[in-house]
Amino acid sequence: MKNRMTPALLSVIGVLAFGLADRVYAGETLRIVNNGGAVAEASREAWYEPFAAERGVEIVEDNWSQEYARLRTQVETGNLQWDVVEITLNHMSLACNEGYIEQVDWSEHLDPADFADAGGVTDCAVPIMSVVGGLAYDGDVFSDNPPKSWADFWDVETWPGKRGLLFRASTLEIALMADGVPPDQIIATLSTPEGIDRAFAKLEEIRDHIHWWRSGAESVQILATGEVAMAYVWNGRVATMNKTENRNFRYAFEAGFVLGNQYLAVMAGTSERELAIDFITYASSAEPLARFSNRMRYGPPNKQALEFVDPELLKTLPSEYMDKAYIQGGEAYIQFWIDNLESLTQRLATWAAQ
Amino acid sequence: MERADRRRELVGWLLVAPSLLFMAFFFAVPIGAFLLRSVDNTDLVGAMPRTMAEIGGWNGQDLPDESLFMALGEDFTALPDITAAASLGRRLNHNLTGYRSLVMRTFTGLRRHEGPLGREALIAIDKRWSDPAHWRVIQQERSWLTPLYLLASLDLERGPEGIRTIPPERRLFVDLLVRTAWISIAVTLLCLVLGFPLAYVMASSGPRLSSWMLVLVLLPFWTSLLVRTTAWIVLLQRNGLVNQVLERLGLIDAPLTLIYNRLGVYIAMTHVLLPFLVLPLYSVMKGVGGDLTRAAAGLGAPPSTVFRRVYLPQVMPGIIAGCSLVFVLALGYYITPALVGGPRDQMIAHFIAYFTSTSVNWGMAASLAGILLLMVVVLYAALARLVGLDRLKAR
Repeated sequence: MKNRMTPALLSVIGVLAFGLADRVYAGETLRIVNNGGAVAEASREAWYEPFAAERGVEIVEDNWSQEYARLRTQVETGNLQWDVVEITLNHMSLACNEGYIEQVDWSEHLDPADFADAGGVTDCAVPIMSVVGGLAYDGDVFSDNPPKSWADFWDVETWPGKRGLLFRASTLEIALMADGVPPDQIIATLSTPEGIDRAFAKLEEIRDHIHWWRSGAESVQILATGEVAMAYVWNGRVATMNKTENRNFRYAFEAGFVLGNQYLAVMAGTSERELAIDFITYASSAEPLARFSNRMRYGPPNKQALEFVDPELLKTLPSEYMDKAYIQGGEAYIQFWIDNLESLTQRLATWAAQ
Repeated sequence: MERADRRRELVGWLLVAPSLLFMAFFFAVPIGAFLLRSVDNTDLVGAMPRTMAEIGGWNGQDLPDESLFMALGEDFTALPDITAAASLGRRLNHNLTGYRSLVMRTFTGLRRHEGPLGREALIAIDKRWSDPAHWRVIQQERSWLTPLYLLASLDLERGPEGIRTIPPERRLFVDLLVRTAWISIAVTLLCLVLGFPLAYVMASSGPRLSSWMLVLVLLPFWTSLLVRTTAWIVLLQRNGLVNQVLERLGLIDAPLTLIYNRLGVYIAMTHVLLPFLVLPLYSVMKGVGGDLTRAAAGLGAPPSTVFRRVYLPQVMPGIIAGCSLVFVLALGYYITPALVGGPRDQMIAHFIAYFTSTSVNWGMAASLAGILLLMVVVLYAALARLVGLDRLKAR
């Protein structure tokens, strides 16, 4: 009996000791949340591991899908699980405005001029990837007669098949673009009840042909399996798919496209504020940011990073079509989404389910 | 004698006390507290005590007088921090879109403001304060309890002349409740149609075969719900296995749409829920001997009559238990419709999750959850009335 107990007892002690040893590790810890998937891998390689090694800190990862509730409840209950948060423009504006992420004077840590071309640093956050969202299709399927405009995207007679669109309120901007609203008029149009109705009426035209996607991985997967004929897709996903899976996905950038940033921000009230700022400064600096961009295939918002970026990547960016770009940002844009993100998200969810 | 009885009863109660307490603390209390959120208005009333006290006297039409503006200004400056202002703005935005930025701008504006907090100061910070519509929202919501969320869950709202239906483009939840009930009924019937013969064969075949069949039923039962659902995606998608086989056989020219619609939801949900019908039904059928059916047949009853009047009544408890189990589980389904359904195939649980985690509107989440719970209770009561409560328990 005694003999049989010994191994069990030892293993219990072992587990306890292991657990304790884990606790005893006294170095500083920085808890970072990212968008998961490919972003998590790229962040780990380009930023987390080098930064952890350089500073002798431990980095703990988590991921989220921009569920604002998770950010909000942590700050309101004072039970923080994150120190640094990767966040989209809409949520960043809202969180900065409502005090869920820290206000930081970034000019003390980096040169804001480096980021000016890509929309700039904000009161709270630093942009770390410039995401292009555009009309993508499989070049092997539409080799003779590729779609060239958002009107073509809406034309399900000439180009049969489903259409992939992002299930977020910001897709209303695409609907208006497809309805012929010039990029600089989109927010002004959406700000009126008639403009919102107009956007929904446009979506109604192809309602039964829309396949709504919710994650970037899903957007290219439905394109790859032929579930949809065309889709609104973020450029990094397409570039990665073409590079790693040897696909021939193409963009119709001449149709017009959306340009928006992802940001890194510091959680409000974190005890690691300085370390978090140091991390964001490091991640957005030239070489680490270029490493991240090369891996994720998104453009770097810091112009100093451009010289370290893979020239092949730059070729996938819509540099020559910048007159067709709809740039998400600016005071009017931010104010609009602070007020309307919730109500339009709900109206879209309602409309889709009706 | 009587004392001994009472003592035994007391001991009985003491023995179940821990589990009763456990149920109360970890089941009844949290659910009750969450359901209370569907009418709770303390976030709003508690944040604006002075304004709420004053606003009852306002006539609802003209610009409010100076004292009401003062009360509002004082309430705003008394907010402890910016996140308190944020939750106030979010709460008022549920009533009227635009309140979020109005509250935030007023809060930050008043922080910088010096001098009196009255009408002039507030309208200078944001001219929307001169619009009575914004004040009417506060007046309407001055009570500690609000019907806002419960009404919204039934596509209703409070207008100037009482309760009215909301405009059609925002109507959803009544349809959604009907849809949820309908999908659940359809899945239950499909499970019954597929499960009854299966359970019958299992119960009437030899021990070897029936135990193998039991394993086949249990194997998917033990597999993760997500795995089973994604397996259906692989099978049913546009270039999936089913379409490929049908095309090879020359039965179809173009791929069929088998997924991301209602059909996909029925197929996947029926597959996932089938064991919940088969297992209780099998256990009941196993207990039914062949004597009565043989006797009926021996007395000259045709097979259909034997089945209808002798066999079916005996296995009815199993059918009822299995069907109610499947129906109640189906009512709360969320992951499967999200993965294999289209936007028009989402059920009420999808919106409860949406209001809990995406839009952070716990009042709406609580009211929808309350309505779902009510549906289950009504169903249970109806069944109990119909067949008697004791028969609901599977033997």
